[in-house]
Amino acid sequence: MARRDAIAFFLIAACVIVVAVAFGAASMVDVVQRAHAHDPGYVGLPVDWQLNFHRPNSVFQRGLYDFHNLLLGIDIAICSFVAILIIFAVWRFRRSRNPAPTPLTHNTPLEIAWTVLPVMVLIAIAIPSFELLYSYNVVPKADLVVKVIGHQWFWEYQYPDKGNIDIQSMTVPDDQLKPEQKADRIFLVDHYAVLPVDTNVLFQVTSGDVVHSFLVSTLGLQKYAVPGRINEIWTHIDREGTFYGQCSQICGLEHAYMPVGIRVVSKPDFDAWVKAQQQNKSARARGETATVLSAR
Amino acid sequence: MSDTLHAAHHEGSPSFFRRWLAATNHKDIGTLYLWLSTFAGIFAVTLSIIMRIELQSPGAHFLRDSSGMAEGQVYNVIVTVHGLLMMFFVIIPAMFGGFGNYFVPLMIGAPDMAFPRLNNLSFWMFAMGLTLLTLSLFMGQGPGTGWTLYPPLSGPVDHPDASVDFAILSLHFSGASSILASINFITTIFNMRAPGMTLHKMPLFCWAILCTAFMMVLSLPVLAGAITMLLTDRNFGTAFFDPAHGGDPILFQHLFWFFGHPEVYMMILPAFGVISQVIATFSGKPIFGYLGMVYALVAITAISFVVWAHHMFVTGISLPTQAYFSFATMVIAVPTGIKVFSWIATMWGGSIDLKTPMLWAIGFIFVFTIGGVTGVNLASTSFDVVANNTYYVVAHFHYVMSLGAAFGLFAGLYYWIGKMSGRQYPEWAGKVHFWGTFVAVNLTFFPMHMLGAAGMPRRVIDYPQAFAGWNLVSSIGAYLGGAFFLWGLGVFAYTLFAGRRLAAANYWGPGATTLEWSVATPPPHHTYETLPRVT
Repeated sequence: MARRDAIAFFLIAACVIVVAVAFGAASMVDVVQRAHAHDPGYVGLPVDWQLNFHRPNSVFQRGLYDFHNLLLGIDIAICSFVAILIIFAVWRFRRSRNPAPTPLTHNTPLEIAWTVLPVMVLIAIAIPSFELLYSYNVVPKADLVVKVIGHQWFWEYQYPDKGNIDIQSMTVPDDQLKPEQKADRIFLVDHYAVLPVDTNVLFQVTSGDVVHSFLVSTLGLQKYAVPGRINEIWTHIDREGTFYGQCSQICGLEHAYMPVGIRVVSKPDFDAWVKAQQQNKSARARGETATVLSAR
Repeated sequence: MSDTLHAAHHEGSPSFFRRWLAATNHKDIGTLYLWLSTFAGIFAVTLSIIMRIELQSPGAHFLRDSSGMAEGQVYNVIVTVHGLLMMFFVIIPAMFGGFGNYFVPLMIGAPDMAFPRLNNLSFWMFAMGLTLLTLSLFMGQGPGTGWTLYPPLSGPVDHPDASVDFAILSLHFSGASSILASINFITTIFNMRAPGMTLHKMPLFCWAILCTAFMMVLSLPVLAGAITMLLTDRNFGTAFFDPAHGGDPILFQHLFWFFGHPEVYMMILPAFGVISQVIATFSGKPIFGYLGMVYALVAITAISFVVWAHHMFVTGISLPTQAYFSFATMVIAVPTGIKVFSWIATMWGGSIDLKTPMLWAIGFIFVFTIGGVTGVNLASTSFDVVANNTYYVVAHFHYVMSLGAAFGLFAGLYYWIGKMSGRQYPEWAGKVHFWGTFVAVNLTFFPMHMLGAAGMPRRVIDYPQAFAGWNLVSSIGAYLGGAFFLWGLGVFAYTLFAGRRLAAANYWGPGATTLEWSVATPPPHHTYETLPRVT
């Protein structure tokens, strides 16, 4: 009898563990993103059927990706453990086989164990969690400050140290998209925020009307844009490309159509862009007002 | 003569009007709560199906105006009302008002609640709240603020008409109703237990209701204060939350979540209670580690008041504040873990009868564990930076609430419907309901973890092509879930009108040991005219 139970237990455990490991492995390496790894367009865009967070483009994001995989591993282990116990208990202690219940209702060592073990798991989670929290909350000396202002329903980027460049960035309406752009509808914007690669960038996030949230999922950044407040978040991106995100706090009618588009370029290209912006500033401003009005 | 009248009054067949519209009997009020929350539930599930139809594929196909523009406000209103309904008018009234009123007095051996007329008032305030919320849908542009009602979006500029005022007043009524009900439960449980029913012998369901009542009494007044400030901001020119006049929108978030976090535990604690009763009954043995279970409930209640800002990790709160709330939130995993392991240990060595309520209870442990571990993930501020306000959060709280609390609700309904109605549901139909729902809801909500990781924000009517795959899976799951929800309604309707009649007081057998199984099935209008004695 005991042998039969042991075999059943191992069979159940094996089935659950195979499923769990397959799911865990596929998610942790994210086979779907891997398949798109060499596709240059996908540097800063999520891909369909994506399983995990966006592959990292900054130091913080790398830490985050690894930390999430640690969490995922622990989660899968806990859920599998619970599933194995439940399935085995239901099979082993079913009424037809075990008509007389054992009156076991207390076991102090066991109860201490299942109080202490979760505490230890939590400590194992808390140490890397707090390490990461403190590492990205200490803002280093910023080489570039970008002021991000949320509006209903577009983002405005100001470069106070670069002669007050002012970019208003709106989603491209569906009827103005080229056929090859349709797949990235909503994400694509008319004017991008431009950042230099390998630079400490500080975002000062605020809002001109309601609460928005500046979520750039492909760069691992998020901060609420709250009217009357300036929130700071920084990053150091080590890869060139165009990165996307979306406003994630409900902000009214067109909340779904408020993407973040950030173009990360080499330092010389960035300087050239700044120069061009400053030269065309007044002309651009007029042009943009027209765009905004026509899009309303 | 007057004696006969008196007796008739008590024996009672009060007229329909007297019995249901002026109800003071705890069983009648519990029944009324269950009926009304069922209708609210049908309403709220319908709204969720509308959302999933819209989100089935990218582009606004379903909710759009005649010119083809996405009806963003309509979608926001549906999101808001779905959330408010499910939280304030479905789960809590059904579990706390319905099962609580019906079964707490039966379980502790009390003839009725301490304040029967107050109980009646609670029910009608709940009905009033539901009416106001329903009206708010049709008032102007509707409340498209999300259930959190964050200003300035909920302020007079973005919602100039009366819709948000209706929603606020609806929450006032619902909150007052819950506070009165809580006072009633606390008084009843502390003063009206049968001789011998000490607090440490009280069934876990009553403990869960007691803890829920304490959370309500302590947290709902804060919500009432916050939404009253919002109301005066909107209508009387105050500027509590208006930064242009020195107010602070973040203050509202703090006040809201000081209530909002206990609120989510108010939904799950009664489910914990039901699950504990069901698992003990169908394992044929008392709950494992009863005292640990009781004090885990008490601990969860206490901790629920000191973790609120984990909903606000990216709003700009300071680093030490983030660290504290991150730490405090992780602590919740310990009492919750004790509960999960104790349920499994109750099954261990038991004589498990896989009746429908037990299936729901086992399903609950499983989905609640998944929702619990993602909750621990979200407790890490550093992780929350990318997960906050994405579908990852939607997946997390639907695993603990839509699946967890709702599974607890269904477990309770199948467990007690025979006791309440005197008719038993067809076992096979209940099992079909469970398995169908279990598959469907996992299909609906599991892919949302992936969508959140990929960066899909919450509360959007439309999304880029990159989120299409998992959204389609989720919508298919939702349609299946909707179909099995209808199936479940059919099972309950069949049970009430044509189910097999039950004669035994305790139709579940020796595993069911609590006092409600000692009264007749269905219970007479007045129970415990002689108090039971608990040994």
